Amino acid sequence: MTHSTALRSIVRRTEVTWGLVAAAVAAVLPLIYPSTFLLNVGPQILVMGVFAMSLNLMLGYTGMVSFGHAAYFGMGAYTLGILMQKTAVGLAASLVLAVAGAALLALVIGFFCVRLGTIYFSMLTLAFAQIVYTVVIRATPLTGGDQGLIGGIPVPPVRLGPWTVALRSPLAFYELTLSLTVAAFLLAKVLVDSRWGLLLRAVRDNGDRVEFLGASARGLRLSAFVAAGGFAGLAGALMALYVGGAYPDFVYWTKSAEPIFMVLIGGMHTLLGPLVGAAVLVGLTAVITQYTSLWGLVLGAILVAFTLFLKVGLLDFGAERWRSRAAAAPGNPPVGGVARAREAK
Amino acid sequence: MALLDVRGLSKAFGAFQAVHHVSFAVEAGEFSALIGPNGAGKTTLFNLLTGHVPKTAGRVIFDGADITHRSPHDVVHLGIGRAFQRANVFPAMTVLDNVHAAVVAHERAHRDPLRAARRDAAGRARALEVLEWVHLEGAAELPAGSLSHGDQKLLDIALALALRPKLLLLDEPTAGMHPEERRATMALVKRLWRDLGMTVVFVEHDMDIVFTVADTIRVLHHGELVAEGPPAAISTNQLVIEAYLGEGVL
Amino acid sequence: MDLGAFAQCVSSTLCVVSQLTSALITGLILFLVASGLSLVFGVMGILNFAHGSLYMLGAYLSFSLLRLNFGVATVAAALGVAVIGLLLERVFIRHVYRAPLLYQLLLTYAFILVLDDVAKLIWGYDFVSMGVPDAFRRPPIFIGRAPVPAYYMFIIVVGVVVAVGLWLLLTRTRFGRIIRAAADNPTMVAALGVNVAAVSAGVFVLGSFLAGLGGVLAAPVRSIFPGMGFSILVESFIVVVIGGLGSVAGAFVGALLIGFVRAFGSVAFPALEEGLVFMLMAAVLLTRPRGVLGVGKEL
Repeated sequence: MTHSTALRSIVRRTEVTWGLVAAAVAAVLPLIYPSTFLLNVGPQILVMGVFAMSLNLMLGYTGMVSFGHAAYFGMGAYTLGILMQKTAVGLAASLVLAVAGAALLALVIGFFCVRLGTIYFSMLTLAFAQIVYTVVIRATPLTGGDQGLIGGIPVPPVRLGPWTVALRSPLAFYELTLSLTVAAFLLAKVLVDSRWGLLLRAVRDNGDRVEFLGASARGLRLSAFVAAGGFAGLAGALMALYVGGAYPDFVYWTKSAEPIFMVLIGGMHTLLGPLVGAAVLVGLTAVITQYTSLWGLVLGAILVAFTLFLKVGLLDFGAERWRSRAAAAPGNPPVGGVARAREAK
Repeated sequence: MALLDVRGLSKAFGAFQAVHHVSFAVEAGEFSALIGPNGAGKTTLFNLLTGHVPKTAGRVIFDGADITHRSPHDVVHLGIGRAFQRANVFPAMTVLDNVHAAVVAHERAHRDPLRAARRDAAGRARALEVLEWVHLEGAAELPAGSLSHGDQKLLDIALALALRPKLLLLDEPTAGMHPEERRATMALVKRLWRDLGMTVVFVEHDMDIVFTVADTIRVLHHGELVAEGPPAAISTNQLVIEAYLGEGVL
Repeated sequence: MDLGAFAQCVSSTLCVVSQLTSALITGLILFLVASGLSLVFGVMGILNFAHGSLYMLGAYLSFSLLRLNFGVATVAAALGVAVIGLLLERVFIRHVYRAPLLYQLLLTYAFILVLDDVAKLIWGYDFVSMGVPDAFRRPPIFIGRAPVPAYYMFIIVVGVVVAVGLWLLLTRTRFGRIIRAAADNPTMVAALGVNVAAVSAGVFVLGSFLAGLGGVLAAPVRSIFPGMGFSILVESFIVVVIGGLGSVAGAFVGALLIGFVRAFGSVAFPALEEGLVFMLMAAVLLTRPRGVLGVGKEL
């Protein structure tokens, strides 16, 4: 764990740059290379990336392992789906309400969950998420029950100054998802680099000590829970737009497991790590399924190799390499406090 | 009026009386030691004072306010800082971020999640100042977990100092150090006490140190306060000698 | 909520006996699987996501071996799963004992993906149904006027016998004492000169055997399909949490509790069927976070 500090300071300066460069490449790519595969898989990667990034606000930055993050993803998806299918609320307002609804649900559930620590916290988040799942499949008039919100989500064309953009077009939807992902990434970056983010990391390292500094560790955990819920709601809402509906498996516990593995694969010490993890997991699955229906066999084997040989997330591994090269430069060893106190005597 | 007034404080864990009807008053500006054999209830007493453990009975008045039932983070804001027996820091964060976190928590500045911590020049300057007090400014950018044990103990004290405490509780500040380091660390603590105008209560097992630096000594034994007074009076106190002879320490 | 239906059921012997039997077979099969999970977690600190897949393999193996003979199939399938568990532990899992908990989860999750696909390769994508073995095609046993199928009685008897056997194993044998000591304090056991690798492998074999046996017993009364390990895995986690992490006695209480909640809860609260056990878990966690018996491990 001690490496993560130095690692983080390198990453801090470059993460935004790398993120924006990657986003620029991703934005231009379908214009010069208009592949159906890219336009299909791209939005999935981005949406799951935002979802995994939202989880990492808790997992990597606050040290809370949620097994029930799908509840907020699903809440975002269903809120947007219901609003756009059954009311006259517009797209932008629906997105905002989806985020707000997910954050509100996270506030209510989080209030109970943050009382517990470690695996007990994880299990309680799972329990609540499955209760939400039960509600979703039982509230048939509102949610469509087992079937989900079928029949598509009507997406009106969006006016951007002089242009009218039909979001039904895969390219337009891809670019919309990409811009919202970049916005979410930048906002999350501001949050984790703030003084609030500093205390979240303190909670991750040692929650009890934070109490003795005069801040409420439970309150900080809850605030991280709510923020993560809000971002997950955005991801869910985008997913609902992408697939044109909202389905119970958005809320099912397997949906909570996916972002955990994306964070582990991509790395938990950055915000881009989870996005990389999503790209790897979603991308690999999409590629493998083109060749064989036994994608689990191939993906499972890759994951086994990953866990046994790499043992840290991809970006954490890369940053570690970079750091050890930077650290090779000689410098004066700092003088410790106790030694100095002895000299001063 | 005393800075800290402890009245009839008790804590029972089931049938075990960890702290039993303890009363004493700490005067402002005091530099005092709390001693007692292992298991005497010293750490539990600190936990009670800082609100970490609920009290079975008794009251605690600090600086005129009743803090008996206040949460640990409230107690901190009223002015009680604490360092721990085992270095209690944030190992994966840099030394500077450790103290900066303390400054932020103290100023409740974490409620602004939109401004970058790096841009908080005042907070970081303050954190660096505190690090200079304990001679750790050279290690500011190192991960706290990579420091030596002794330096982590100093960082732990620095975290408490960043909260501008009126009363500083130190639980064995020199635990696990060489005798030479102990003396140096204690001298540093005493200098900080003088320079910063705090009140300090510390727990310590090294009796040479205790009787050299403390102005007042309180002795806990089996959860009860058995003696209180200046070093000269304590060293000849029959009850204290018995308490320690039973353990074969003094 | 449908309290009327519940009252009606409770007042009829037929309904009570049938729900009671259903509660017991659900609870006992769950106990077999969950006790293995709890042992592996308690002793080695590994939350094995693939534990449900071992249950699935038990069911499939029993399905394939049944053509030989029911007794042979039962024993051979459970032992086969134990051997698979041993292989997983020796080849893969022992390398991640020191890794963070989440990486252990990722590894064992990868096993689920692989084992599910292996099952698809060997037994196909569709549900297979095994039916009650010939030995149990006989008239039901009557309790009062209520019939209980012979195979159900068999599950109940085997479940209880294994529970007692497990209890004896853990309390009366040297292996059991070492396991319990290791669950309390793993470093201590290493210091005592016990071969930790052998203990780890032994516990994994035992845990896998129990999961496999659960699958074998469930095979004739449940549909068998790739992915069938998923739901029992989640329920096993709930049992382990309710019973207290690492406690086999707690797992027994927790598993039966879930069996009863499912059997009678589905009559009283049909609308909440899927959520009931999770509500139970949330209630236990919020009031008694160390499990109902209060003996769970602190993490």
